[in-house]
Amino acid sequence: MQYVEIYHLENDGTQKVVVVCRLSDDNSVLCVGDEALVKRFSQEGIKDYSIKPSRRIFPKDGKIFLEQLKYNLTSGYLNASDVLK
Amino acid sequence: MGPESDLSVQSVRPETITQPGHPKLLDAVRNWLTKKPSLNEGENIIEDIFDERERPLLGRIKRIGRLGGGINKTFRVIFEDGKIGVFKPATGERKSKSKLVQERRPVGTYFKRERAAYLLDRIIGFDLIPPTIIRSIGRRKVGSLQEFIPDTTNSIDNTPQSELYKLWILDYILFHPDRMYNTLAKGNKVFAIDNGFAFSNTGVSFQSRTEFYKAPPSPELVEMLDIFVKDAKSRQMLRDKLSPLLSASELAACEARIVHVNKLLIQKGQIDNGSELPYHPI
Repeated sequence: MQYVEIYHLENDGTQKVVVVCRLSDDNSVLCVGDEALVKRFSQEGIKDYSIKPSRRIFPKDGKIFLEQLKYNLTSGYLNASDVLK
Repeated sequence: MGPESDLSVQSVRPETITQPGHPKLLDAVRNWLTKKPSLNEGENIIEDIFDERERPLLGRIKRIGRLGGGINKTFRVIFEDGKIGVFKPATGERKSKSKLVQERRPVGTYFKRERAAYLLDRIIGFDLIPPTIIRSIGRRKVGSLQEFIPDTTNSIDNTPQSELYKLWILDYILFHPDRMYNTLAKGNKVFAIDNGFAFSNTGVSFQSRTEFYKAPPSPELVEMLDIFVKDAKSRQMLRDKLSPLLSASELAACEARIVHVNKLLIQKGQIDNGSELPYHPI
C-alpha cells in the first residue's frame, strides 16, 4: 500500500503526522487526519508540477496526487514525505 | 522523519556584521555579542539585519534538527530562549524530478529569495512575512532562517477578505507561484511563508485569486502602495537591499510589477483578470 505522511511543525518544535494519504486499489487517494487539510485537498486540490502548464489535481487523480504532495507542501510548517510503501 | 542532531558551533564574528544607516542598532548588536560570547560554532551572521524584529533570529542556538518531508532540506532551530525558527540551507536545495517545478530557478538561490521577499514586505509595509534573515549555522551551512509563528492554522476561512486581498497583491509583486498551502492564519492575521520560489519567471504563472477580480482593494492598501511608488528613497532602498539577492532582470521585473499594480488600483480601482498581471509589465 503506497502512502504519504504529512507532517505539521508543532509549537514545541516537534513534527506530528497530521494527515496520511493512501492509494486505494481503484487508484484514488484517501486522506485521513486533520479535517481542514483533508477538506482543502478535496476542494482546492494541489498543483501538478510534472506537466506544463501545471494543473490542479485532486485525491481522485490517484498516484500522481500522492507523488506531487511533497512538491506542494515544502514550508517546514507543513511537509509531505516521499511516497512510502 | 529526519534525525534530530546537535550541530557543532563556532564563535560569532561581529566584524562580519554591517549595518549602513543604522549605527545605533549595529552598536547594540556588537555590544550584545561582546557581552555574551557565543558558545556556538559557526553561527556567523552573514548579512546585516534590517530591523529590530529580526533580532531574536540572531540569538544563541540550543539545538537544530532536520524536519521530515519536503523536496528541500528544512531544519527546526531551537534558540536558548525557547523560540523556534525554520532554517533552509542552500546546500539543502534540490532539483526535483518534476522538472517544471524548478525550471529556471537556480538551485542555491532559494534562501536569498526568502530574505528578499521579507525585505520587500517590510520596505513596502505589507507586514505579512515573518522576519527572515540569512545566517550560517554549524558546519557553515548558509541559509534562510525564519521566525516560527506558533498557534497558527492552515485554514483561512475566517480571515478578513481585506487581508487576503493584500496577500494577493503581495504575491503578484513577488510573482509567487504557489501560495495555496503556504499561508498561515492566526486570528485576523495571515502570514505568507515559503517564499523560496518567488521573483522568478519559471513558466509557472503567478497564482492569481479569481475571487478578487473586479473587487475593490482597501483604501489602506492603495495608499500604502502609492506612498511607496512616489517615494524615491524607499524605492532606492528596495533596489539596494534586493540587488545582492536577485538578478538584475528579476529586480527590474519586480519593481515594474509594483508600479504596474499601483497604477491599476489607482486608475481603475480594480483588477479585471489575470492577464492584467504579467511577470514583467511594460
